[in-house]
Amino acid sequence: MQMPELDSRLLERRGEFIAALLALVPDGVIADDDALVAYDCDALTAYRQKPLAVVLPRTADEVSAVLAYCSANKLKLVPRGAGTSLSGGSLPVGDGILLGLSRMNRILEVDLENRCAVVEPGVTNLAITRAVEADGFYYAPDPSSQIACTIGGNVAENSGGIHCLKYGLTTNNLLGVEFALIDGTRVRFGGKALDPGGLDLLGLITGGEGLLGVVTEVTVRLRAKPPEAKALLIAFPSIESAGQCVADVIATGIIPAAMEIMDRFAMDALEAYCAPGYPKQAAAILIAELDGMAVEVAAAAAEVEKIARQNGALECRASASDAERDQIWAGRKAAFAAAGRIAPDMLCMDGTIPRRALASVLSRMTEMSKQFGLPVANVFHAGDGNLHPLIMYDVMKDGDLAHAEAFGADILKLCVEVGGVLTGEHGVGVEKRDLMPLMFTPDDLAQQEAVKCAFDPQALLNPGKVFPSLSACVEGGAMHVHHGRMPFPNLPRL
Amino acid sequence: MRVLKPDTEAEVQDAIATAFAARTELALEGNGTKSHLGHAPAAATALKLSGLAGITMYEPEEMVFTARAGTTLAEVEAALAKHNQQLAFEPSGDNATIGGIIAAGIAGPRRFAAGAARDHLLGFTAVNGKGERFKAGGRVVKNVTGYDLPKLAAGSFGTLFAMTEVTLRALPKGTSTVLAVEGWTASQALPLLRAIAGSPLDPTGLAYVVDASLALIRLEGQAEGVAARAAELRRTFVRTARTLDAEEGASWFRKLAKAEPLFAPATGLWRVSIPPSRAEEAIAALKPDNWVADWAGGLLMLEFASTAPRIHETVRALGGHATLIRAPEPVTEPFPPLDAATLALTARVKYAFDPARILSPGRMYKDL
Repeated sequence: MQMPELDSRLLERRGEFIAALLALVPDGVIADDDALVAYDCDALTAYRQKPLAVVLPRTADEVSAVLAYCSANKLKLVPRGAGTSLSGGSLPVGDGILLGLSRMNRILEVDLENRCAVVEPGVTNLAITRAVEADGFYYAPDPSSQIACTIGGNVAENSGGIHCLKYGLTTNNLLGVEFALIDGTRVRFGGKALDPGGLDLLGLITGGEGLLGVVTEVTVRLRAKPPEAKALLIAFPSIESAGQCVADVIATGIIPAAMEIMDRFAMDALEAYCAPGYPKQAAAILIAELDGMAVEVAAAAAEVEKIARQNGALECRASASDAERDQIWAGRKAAFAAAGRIAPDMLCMDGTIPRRALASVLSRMTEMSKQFGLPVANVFHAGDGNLHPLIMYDVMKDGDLAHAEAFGADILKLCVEVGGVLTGEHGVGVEKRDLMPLMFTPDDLAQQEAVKCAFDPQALLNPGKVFPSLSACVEGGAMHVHHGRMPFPNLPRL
Repeated sequence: MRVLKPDTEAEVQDAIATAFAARTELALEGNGTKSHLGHAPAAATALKLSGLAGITMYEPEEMVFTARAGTTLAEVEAALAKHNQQLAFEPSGDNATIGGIIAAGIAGPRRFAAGAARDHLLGFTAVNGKGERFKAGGRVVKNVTGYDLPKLAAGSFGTLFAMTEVTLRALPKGTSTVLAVEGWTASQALPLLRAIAGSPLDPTGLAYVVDASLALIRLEGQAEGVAARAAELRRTFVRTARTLDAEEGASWFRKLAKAEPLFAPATGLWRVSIPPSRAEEAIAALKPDNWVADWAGGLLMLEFASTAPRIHETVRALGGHATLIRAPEPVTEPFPPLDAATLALTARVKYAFDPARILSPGRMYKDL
């Protein structure tokens, strides 16, 4: 995986840049070499690069000032929330700064009457729920890193979590953002009212992976906490039967709050790690969560159990209390950590497939695992088809990383082949950048790159991410000038 | 007006590529049912997409289908109904095309709970303003691969590209119950709707029809759950809520979805999206001749016999925005005016798809 070549003209000016940035963000520039090491990667730890400097603004005005400076000096920048990205979304570039938003961590307003909260981008996902739970509300998208990941990062990645099937992704739970463009101008998309007044630019920048601008404020939708939530732990004799159960449940019209499947390998890893007490004879387990009022949770649980038994379930346990529910989930939540114990290193993949392809994709993965000689455990958001194959390798073994990456790429290729996509929630980042042509033709990619030009024609924001080729945004040449008149003559150019 | 009506995607590409080469402006439409929204088309040639029709994929178990953009809403809904599924964003207009519904960002009373067209469009294929075909999104909900162009497609009114095929979510229809609270004034009913919206009762319809002093609450889902929630609503909020019979309840929500049946013919109608807590202020400031609140007060449909006084400024000050539905005379700004920076960005985004400005020019904003 190649990052763009470093621009020596930028490297030469490092001292000048640091001095200028210190003037703009007085107590918020890290330039010391040793301190920069702490920022040289995100959760995709296989790739590291120290930025020229780390800049940590405290206010939106400081963000604007830094962007304006970068724009004027062609200085590259990589925005970062908490650095929890599994796809290298906030991997620094050596000839650019890392713009960290974590100091902008205030909750500005909780407006329960309008069911929303206005927060700074560095507020953690979980902190939003914590701020409103005493009043019976919560913020629904719950990525597993929610204790650390920031809402600004969630917007950039359009983060998900286990409750997406019922409650949607970040983009479905977002009402508005204030967005800083590369020249420092800040614009507001949306707000406390529904629907955009114009093009849905809010929807466009959500999932923009830090390539289009920097989020400086977020207005999120709050939901009322359901009075009851019950978890069902169901053991199946095969992956196929677990998958069929999921399909049958959905066919009845029930949409559980969450549905997760784990394979035998993942369960064995968990048994060794924290002994959650999952049924030992099962080839797969399904954890389904149902929420709502007590009466409907009971009815839905009974229906799900009936369908499970029709599909050959070996065992079905239902939680009778919040504590029991947490216990059922504890194993699933520890799955990545447990798998990580089996081998020195682990690649956590993220692809989405149509649900019906689960059994065949898992069976192909078992074959591939033998071919590559690398073990893989599977954790699967069964409700929405988002797969997390966990590939185990040892970075100390020559070529093992490349091997694991090749295995991962083949899995994603398979996802696309069966009608799915390269990434369901982790984003493209650097990790899947070179696989984009598996899903998009050159024309498809060119259209997306044209959108980038509308926001960041100098390609200063997050270089080397998402798109495999660096395309130049040629203004004057491509624009048609008819009878000497520029299109949209009154509108300013970036 | 000259009308081009291609029958295939290749013909759409051809038509637009030809127009691009000649710099001929095209007004995009499906069946033209929304031509009254926005500015009147400035283009001399219409590109009618209703010839691209038919559902090409439908997998009820996967809750997804793909249809050519010119397929009528009636055809889509009939196909989904056979499997007890629906478009959760509750669009209306039988003769409207699915592509047009998406391009006009049409959604009904369930929007505040279930999302708008933008939340249900998973992917699409389109032809841009240079005649180039491209696709975006996919057929699965969990998809963060590349920019979320489907969000941009929804509500773009044919100003960026011509959709030729769309993939959407098909969600289960549940049992539906509509409760009515009769005789309450606006100052009693609007706070009630807001309170129910913030409760775990999970309503999918919260409206108030002022000239009938009628508040309407819709609950949907599994039968036992709906019954339990209706009982809880009576216990916690309003004992006198009366369950309407199925057809009466459904009829009210159909009217709310269409809006116009609730008002006199040929009057001015504006659609105002507002933070629900500011609904009362908006009504007091704008003094409409009649109005209906939907989305727990987050949507106001306002009727004016003559012009709406400085509606954009007033609504903007309350944190919302106003869109014209119809007016007896042309209105200078049927869409909410954008500030300079957003307008400039909008222009650059349009340029990325339609650099020669041939697709529905002037439809949303005079200069774009």
